[in-house]
Amino acid sequence: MKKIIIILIIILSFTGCYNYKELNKIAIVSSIAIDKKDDKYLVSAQVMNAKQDKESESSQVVVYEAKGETINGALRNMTMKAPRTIYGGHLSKLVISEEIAKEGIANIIDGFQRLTEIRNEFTITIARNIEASKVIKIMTSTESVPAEYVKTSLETADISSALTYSTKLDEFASLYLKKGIDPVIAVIEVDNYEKKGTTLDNTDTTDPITKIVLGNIAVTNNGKFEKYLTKEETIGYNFIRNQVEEIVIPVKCDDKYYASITVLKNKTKYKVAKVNNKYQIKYFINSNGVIGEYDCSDELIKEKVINNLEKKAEKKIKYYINKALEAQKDSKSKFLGFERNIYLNYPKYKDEEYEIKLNVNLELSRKGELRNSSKGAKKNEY
Amino acid sequence: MDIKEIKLLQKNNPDLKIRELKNDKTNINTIYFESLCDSDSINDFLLKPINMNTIKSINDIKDKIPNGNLKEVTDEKTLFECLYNGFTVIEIKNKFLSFETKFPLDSGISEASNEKVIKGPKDAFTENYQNNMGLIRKRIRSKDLVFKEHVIGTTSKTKVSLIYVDGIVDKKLVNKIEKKLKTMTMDYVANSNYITENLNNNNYMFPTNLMTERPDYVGFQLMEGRVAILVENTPQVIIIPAFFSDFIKTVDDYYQNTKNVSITRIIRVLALIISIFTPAVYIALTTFNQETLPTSVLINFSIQRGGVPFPSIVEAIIMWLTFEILREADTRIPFVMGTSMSIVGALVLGQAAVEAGLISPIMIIIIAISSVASLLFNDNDMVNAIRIWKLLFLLLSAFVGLYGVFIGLVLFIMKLCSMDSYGFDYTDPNAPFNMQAQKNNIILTKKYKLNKRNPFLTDNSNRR
Repeated sequence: MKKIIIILIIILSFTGCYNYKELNKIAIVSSIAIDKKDDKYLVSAQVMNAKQDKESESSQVVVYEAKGETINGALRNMTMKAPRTIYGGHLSKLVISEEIAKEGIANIIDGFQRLTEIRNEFTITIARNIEASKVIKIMTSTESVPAEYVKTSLETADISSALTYSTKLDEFASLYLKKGIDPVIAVIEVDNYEKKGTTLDNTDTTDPITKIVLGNIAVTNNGKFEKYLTKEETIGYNFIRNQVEEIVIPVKCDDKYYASITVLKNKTKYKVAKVNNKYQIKYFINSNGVIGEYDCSDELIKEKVINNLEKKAEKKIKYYINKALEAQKDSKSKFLGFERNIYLNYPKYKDEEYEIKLNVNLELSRKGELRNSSKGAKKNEY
Repeated sequence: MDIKEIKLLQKNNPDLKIRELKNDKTNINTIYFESLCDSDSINDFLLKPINMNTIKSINDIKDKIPNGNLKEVTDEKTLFECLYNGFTVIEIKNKFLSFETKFPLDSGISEASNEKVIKGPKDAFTENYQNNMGLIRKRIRSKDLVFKEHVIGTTSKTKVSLIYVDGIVDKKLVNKIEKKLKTMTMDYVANSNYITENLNNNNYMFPTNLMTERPDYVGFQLMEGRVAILVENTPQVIIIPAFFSDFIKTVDDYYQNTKNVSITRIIRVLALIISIFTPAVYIALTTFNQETLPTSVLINFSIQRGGVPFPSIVEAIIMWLTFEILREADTRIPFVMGTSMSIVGALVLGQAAVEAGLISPIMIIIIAISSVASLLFNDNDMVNAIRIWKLLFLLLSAFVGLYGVFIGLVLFIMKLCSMDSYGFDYTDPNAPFNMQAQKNNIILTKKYKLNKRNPFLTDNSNRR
């Protein structure tokens, strides 16, 4: 036993502390932005500025920029400017400019996958109408680290409104490599970009001068950016891909006023069949929801009114999905993944015609109590 | 053997008293050690009756003096044995007889100072051999309770008795220990540790026997089929064998609600894990495997590490050493000086080191939690063994990170499994898994369900 311990200690000390890095010697990168300038990659890295004195007025993040023929080379060049080693193990967001996205996202992703230290879990986003490096320079107020701000707001938007969808590196790579489906990526926009937005002044007010705003999603084709989707198309896309967790659907309940249906649970299933030598995909969209708001005068106690609302909401969902279908028809991208769904069931499938059928079923939850509701109940109390 | 020879000894032994009495022309010498004897009982039970009766020979004394413990002395060896044991020797015409007049040279039965209990008996062993025997016999009133006395120590002549309950104990274990006790050669036995070291051939860091000062625990363990060794002048009794799982149990576990005790034992196991692994895992995560930490935690650690000039491992070893020095000082220091030391320890070494930027606050938390967790075990040897393993894990993690921690874990389990306690597996009843013994392992069941004894210790009388 003693011998084993001695031998182990000797052997282990020969490793020279492989991969050893002290916490205060590394620069933790939270997000990376990639632009193109003079035929070279301009890589900007947002580094978390860990300082002991929390009360100091300095910003929590610093952005370093470096140019290079490749992304890896640019990251290496960055060490000339940053005092600490760049550490990408906690990278949470990658921002790509539109120009580069058009040239190809897939080859950039490939570069990141080959880096050993970088985490495979970061979100890929595209900067719309702005340079990517500017996006990561903006100071945000609620989260001290802007990358965390974008990450959390993407997650909330993803979960509670289905208005966007954040694709992580792993998912992007796996969808890109699959036949008959293309990945989508989240879009970031900047509202009123000013130089002042990169300073701490931006966080001191209740109404920041420059804001980071989430866009909907961008569609790729063969690893290259193709076009942006609108809000309605994005919702349709999320319904088809079974990615809806919660969503609010506004429905017109009479000529003037609206009611809003909150979908709390959604399950999208599909079935592929071959009818008359033609492929047919049937989508079954089953949602459960509640009435979130009701502005009309009809009494909600009547079953007919509720059934009517359900039908209207179903129609609305169909409308969203049809928008998404139209968007796919206009482009070469296969972001809805119909071909893949057919291929999984009929492996002999080869780019033939197919037909989509929708079966939307929304059920409003009728169990529950109404307390202190001013609408829909009879006026019978004084 | 002559009275004159004995008188010569007075030169080197000032407390050796020889009193000459004359009774009817008979010369009577009483010889005793003033320091070992009770002068009241000598006066009342020896000198008074001698004065009141007519005594002509040694036989008269045997008949007429009322004293319970009487020994005939025939040779020089027994004479001195008697004298050193607090007997008073009476000489008439070169014939000797001895009476016990021992003075209790120790503190009376008091509360246990190291193994405190909330509920349960408070009495504890003392330095008095007879008292200690009595405390055990009081609890097991059976003729099966055996005390096998040995005298060990060529100069000190310390009484050591092997205690077991006949019919429950494994005879092989008794024979093994008895054989070793008989062949033990030492000149001086100061403490029970002298005996255990010689009983055990292997020098393990983890303790392979329990030491307790509580007679109720000894009684409990004897009834489980273990063997106890009582050493004269030692308030601790040795219990043999002891397993690793015994150190997460305490005496008063059996005096409390079993469900609560089970939870407490789970906490003790967690404390063991915490005390051994926290510093090592912290070093591994912050210097090698940073990607495993959540981002916010990493930023937090990184902020606290800012400005600290030493590598984490040096920082950890400094803090670990500081704590060990404080702990050692705390056990050695007189009670009155304790408060001043805790102020220096807590304020100066802890807070000031952080404010000076030498140590990061998180490291103080890590070392503190791990050190406090190791103090849950009241056996000092166990705490010290944990300390060494903690350091070993720390070094392994400083070289290769989490990988090193797992190498250490494999070594740790290998070491525990290869150990034996007097022929029993040290990891009983976990490593050779025994379902029956699990009733009193981490989960404690009610006493009426513990109707069978530990199957490793007893084979013949398993049922209670």
